[in-house]
Amino acid sequence: MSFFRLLLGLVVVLLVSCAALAGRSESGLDESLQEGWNAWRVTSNGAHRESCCYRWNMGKRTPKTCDLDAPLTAVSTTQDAASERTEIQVYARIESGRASRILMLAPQCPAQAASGINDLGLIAADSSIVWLQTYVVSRGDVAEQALGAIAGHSGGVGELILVAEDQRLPMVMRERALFWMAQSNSDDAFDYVAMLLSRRETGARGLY
Amino acid sequence: MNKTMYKTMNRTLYLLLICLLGAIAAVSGAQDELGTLKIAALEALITAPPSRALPIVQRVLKSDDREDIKARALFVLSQIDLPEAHATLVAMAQNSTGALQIEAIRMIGVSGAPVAMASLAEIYTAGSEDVRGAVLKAYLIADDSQAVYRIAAAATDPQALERALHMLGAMGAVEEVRALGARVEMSETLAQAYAMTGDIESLRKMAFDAAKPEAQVFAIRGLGLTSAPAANAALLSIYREQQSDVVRHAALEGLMISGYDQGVLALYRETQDIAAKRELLQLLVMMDSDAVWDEIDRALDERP
Repeated sequence: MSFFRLLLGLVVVLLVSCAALAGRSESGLDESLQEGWNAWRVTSNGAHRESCCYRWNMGKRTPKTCDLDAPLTAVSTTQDAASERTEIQVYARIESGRASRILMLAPQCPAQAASGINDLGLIAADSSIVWLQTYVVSRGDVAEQALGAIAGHSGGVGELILVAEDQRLPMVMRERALFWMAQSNSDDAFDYVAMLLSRRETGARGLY
Repeated sequence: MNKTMYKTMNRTLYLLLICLLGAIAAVSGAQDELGTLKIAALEALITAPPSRALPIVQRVLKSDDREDIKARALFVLSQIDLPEAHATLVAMAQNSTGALQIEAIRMIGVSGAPVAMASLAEIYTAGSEDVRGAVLKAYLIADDSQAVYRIAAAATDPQALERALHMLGAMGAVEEVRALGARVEMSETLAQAYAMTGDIESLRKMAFDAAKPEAQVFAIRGLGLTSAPAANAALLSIYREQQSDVVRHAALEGLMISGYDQGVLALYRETQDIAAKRELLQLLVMMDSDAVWDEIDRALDERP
């Protein structure tokens, strides 16, 4: 990688980070959430591979309705090229005011829950990211699920970069951010990974 | 130099040393952190679309980064099923040196890609002992016993043949070891390879061939190594039928290796030879067999 490209990469990371930092305020999402399952759509990063529930038989898959109440909702991500879809659907189960489960699906994938789903419709991706980010920082049970959901959001990679670079977070969380970055399939993610891998050891420091 | 000046200088040097150690610790901490992140980033690429991951991995391999990071990049490369990835692996296996070359060869085995696997024969021929060992291990990983057989069949150096035979044994390649068995005189290595593949038939043939007593002993031990019922039966037959003390002793060794104390007990009960009885009883004790206590009780009961 040329010096110019490296410099450009750093500028991109800084800009994305600043944008994400600027957006760090209350998401406003909490007021709309109800106990039980909630769902909302956001603009996707445009490259995320489709996540759905499938029934597998002899290597063939048929779409099926995702049972959100199942202890393990088996969501598969297709290996196909990025779909034309520009949105993703986020599902969050709220218990005593806190998220106990977070899931991301393609909007066309049907999902059901015994107690019903409170559909919030389309909301700003930034608001959704800010809400999810609180669960990453709190390092609770759903931190990993939150990272996975963030990856599919428009601008989500910027947040994942912040997590990967945040020296205050445990290394395992930063590593998972990198994993989800690669899953996001976005150009920004691969540019960042390439830049990270070309970073020199001496004087290397994170953004914080 | 007065005492105060000496003390001040001493203290300054001491502080400098602390600062230096602190700086070293900080730099090495940052290096560890970056290294961990780099490895996580590479591992994340395994699940990324191959066409996106490949150029990044290739760039890491071309860089002057740490060897462990490049080694991880080689693993990611082995998981990318694209012709360019296979070609890069081959190039790394041919043109790298030291541990990285060995790792690249190993990763060709992990990938199992036919084109890359085909390049290993040439790398073996041109390579050092370490490289040759790595190629054999790559064949082991890819479970390509035919390729190891070709190396063994073409070997002119006894050490190379021995190593290939061992590998074939570890791979459980019965037919290939048999085919070589007809051509080589390495009785010990051959017997071990037969034992590893569980080829009792070939071991039996060798063990009963009195024309080659040295080979007999190796084959008998090999029978013991398999611990199979058919091998145990063969060991009992050898002890009963063979005249040579060396061979009979080897049969007892085989029974001990196999842990077949019931067989030793049967021999103990049927023999009338006092010296043989003593030897068999000692063997049962060495084998920590419970049967020995039954026999002692019985002997005590039979005392007048």
